Amino acid sequence: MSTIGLDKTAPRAQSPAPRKADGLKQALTSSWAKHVAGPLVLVIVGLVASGNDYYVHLASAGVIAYILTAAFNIVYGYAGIFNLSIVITYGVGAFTSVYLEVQFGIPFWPSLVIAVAVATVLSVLVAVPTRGLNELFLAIQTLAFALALAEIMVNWHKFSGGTIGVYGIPLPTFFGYQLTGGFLSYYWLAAFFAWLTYELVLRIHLSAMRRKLTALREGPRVLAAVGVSPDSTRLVAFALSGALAGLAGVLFAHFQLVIDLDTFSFTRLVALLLAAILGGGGYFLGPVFGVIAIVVMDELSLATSQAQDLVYGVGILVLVVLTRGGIAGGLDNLVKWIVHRRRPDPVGEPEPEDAESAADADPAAVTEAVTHRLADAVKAVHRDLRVEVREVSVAFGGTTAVNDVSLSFSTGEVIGLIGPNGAGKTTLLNAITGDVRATGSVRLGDDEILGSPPQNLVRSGIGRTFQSPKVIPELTLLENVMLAGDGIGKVGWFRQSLLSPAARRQAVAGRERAMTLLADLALADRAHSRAKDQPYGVLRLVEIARNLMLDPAFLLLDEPGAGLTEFEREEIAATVRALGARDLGVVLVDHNLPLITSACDRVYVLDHGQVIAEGPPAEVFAQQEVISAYLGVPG
Amino acid sequence: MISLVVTGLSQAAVLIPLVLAVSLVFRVSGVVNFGAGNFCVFAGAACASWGTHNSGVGVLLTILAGGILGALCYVVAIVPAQRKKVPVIGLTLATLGFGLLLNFLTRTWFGGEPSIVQPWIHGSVSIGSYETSKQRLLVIGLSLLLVIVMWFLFDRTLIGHHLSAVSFDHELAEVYGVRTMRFELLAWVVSSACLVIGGVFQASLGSVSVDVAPTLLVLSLVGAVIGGLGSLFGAVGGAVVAGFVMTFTDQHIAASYHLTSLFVILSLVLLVRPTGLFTFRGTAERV
Repeated sequence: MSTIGLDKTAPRAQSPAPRKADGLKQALTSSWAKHVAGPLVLVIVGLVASGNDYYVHLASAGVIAYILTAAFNIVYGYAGIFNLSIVITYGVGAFTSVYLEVQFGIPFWPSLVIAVAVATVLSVLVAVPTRGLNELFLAIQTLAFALALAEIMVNWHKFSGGTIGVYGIPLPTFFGYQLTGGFLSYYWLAAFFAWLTYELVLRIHLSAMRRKLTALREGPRVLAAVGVSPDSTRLVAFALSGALAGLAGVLFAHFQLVIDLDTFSFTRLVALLLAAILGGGGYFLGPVFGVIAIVVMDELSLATSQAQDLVYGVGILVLVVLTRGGIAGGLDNLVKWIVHRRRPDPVGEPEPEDAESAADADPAAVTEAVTHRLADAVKAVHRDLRVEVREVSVAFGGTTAVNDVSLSFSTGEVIGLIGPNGAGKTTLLNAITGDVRATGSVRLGDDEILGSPPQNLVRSGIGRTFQSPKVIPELTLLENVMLAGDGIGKVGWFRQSLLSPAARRQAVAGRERAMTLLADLALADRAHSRAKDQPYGVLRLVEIARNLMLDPAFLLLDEPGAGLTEFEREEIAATVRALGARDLGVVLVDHNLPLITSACDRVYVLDHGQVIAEGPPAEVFAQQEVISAYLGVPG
Repeated sequence: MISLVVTGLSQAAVLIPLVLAVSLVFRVSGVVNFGAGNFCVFAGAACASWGTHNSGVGVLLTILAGGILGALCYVVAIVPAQRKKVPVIGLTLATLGFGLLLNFLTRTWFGGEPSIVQPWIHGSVSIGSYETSKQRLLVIGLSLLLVIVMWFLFDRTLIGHHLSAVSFDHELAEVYGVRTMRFELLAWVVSSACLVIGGVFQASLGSVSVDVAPTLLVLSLVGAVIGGLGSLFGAVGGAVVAGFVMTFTDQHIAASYHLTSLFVILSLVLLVRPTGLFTFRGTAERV
């Protein structure tokens, strides 16, 4: 991770550094508590159930169901992919392990590993052709896949035992000790894997992986904007959930000792959906609550003689209407509400002077301060780069939005891109960043970059903001900025998911840098609020902070001043000037002529998709053509 | 060859009402009805049980019940969730919940065993060397009639235009004075009636039981996606393609692999033409 290029002694009156010490302490204690709580609960459940065969049975079934629900929670709850094929992945895990044991005499442990691997591969195979489908189509496609695969399996008698199923599943052994499904010994086996699952999910929850998966769910474009390929992140989500589902399948098969395909049917899927959504999709503890609720509901329907459909049906209808985040979401809201009541204003209280006094203070002084602080924060790592745009055209159907545009910019200069509405400014940016298909050539140094996916562009040093700011509403401002550090950092998804020491270090460094950037933009007191609760102007600044976190060589700003108040716009202008003062190359698309004139070294004027003028702002704005393009006066 | 055509057409005839139903509700409410299979199964069982003495009365009662259940589904599952601004997946789940309730009803009222609707006309006809039941041909004809009625209703009447308006833009339609709730309700009633008709067709040609509900659901969804969820003719086209793919697989490739081959076709369509095989400019925009 990069060091922080910041002068620590620089005065930062408006936004004192956050109370790092107790924040960190708090995080440490709470996360330790979480690491311990899971295994503790598993042990207690085991001890409590140990006297009673039925309780042992229930506990084992519940623990296995937790693993499966956690698998679905990763792919649906965190990553937002409504992958209904998970139920057959679960089945494939079960049948594969049994097949290997029965047909080839492979012992339990290697069979388990192979079955999990097969389930993982299968899950990834489902992911590949479904990319680009919206959530409903994905649900249909994966459901069709599940049923088709079940059909193939039922016809492969050796594998699945046809409609009858497989009997005589060998018992797993552990150093010669037999673990019989339904007995306490087997509960401990299942509990061990449930603990591993819990720990993995916890690490994902605490690590950069949660931010990435949330970004995948809420705004894949943001993921690309921090240099992460949304497609690969998607595959990771599928792989993780496939592996866990396969594991649950293996454990389930050896718990039941008799399996047939009906066990992995639509009914099981419905129960799984119910558990995941009832518990709270996307919440760390969601699967735990969900499984408990399902166990209770199953007991209820057993008590009321097989009315499972009724109980589930009513359960779903009530849930969908009453709860957004399931049980976990409800508890979360309750806790927030209580905390809020005890401390009426937990957020803004330490430095109440900030927002108000900033507004009262002389805007010029404020912007001056912002400029200085940012100039310190921005480092130029890439030097002397140049982007050459040659004869780029973009056509939508019959309309040519950008027509043969050539322009260039280098690091260390700020260029303006202006023109009336519909002139093709944003389309040109989109063409450069790979968001629309274009012809022509865009070179960064000696490399052709036209047509490469957005995330590669970010990695080669070109960041951008969007006309309407793109941030992840469910993440806090701090997490939104940290996302950039997670994205371009050296630590990959694997180590991030496991929260290895390197991933931890990267996250801590990223957190510090992100906090500094937010403080520089006078947003420190909002850092822990969710982005969805923040005003427009704040989101724009957050987007810029996220981009600065990338240490880009070039920054393309798409109408950064649009929809902002006078004061906010001053702040943006100060920021842009600060960037220009460093070694960054900035492309500024805006309508605000004072901003363009004061910030830009050169200006390109676009009209009807073509460059009609170019040069220093003062010269360009004197040209008759430009005046008539802007004001509609016939030239 | 004739066997392929007749069987394929009769498969399509069963699927057409289902696919029409799914695509109609999708257009108007933006929801995929995951309870579709349960509606069909309910219909088959109900019609078999109510029509033991007079099959006409049975069919009418079943269609009536289907309409009422559709309205109920809209009121119970969709409206409250829409009020709470639940996302699309939530609405889809709600329809699944309603489907489970229907499943429960089917089990408690009719037992959930495979049910068969006695054919409305008996006897068989020979086409060349191929002999088929008259009932099969009747179902094909009735399905065609349903398509014509639906086309007339949605393309030639003011109701249809109102529905198109609602499906395009709820708020704008309201601004123009269309009572969107009422038309959405109508769409659910018509759609459920279609589902019920499909279920009755299936039960009169083969049988239905609660176990086949997921299969029927997938068939109708896949047919709708293959044809394109947007349009009436897309739906019909999708149903015909799905019907023939299944029959062809059964007769010429391998029996009992028809879901697999449908899945392959679905994947190809989503890969090559994600908007559906039969979606064209102009037709795509209609209900």
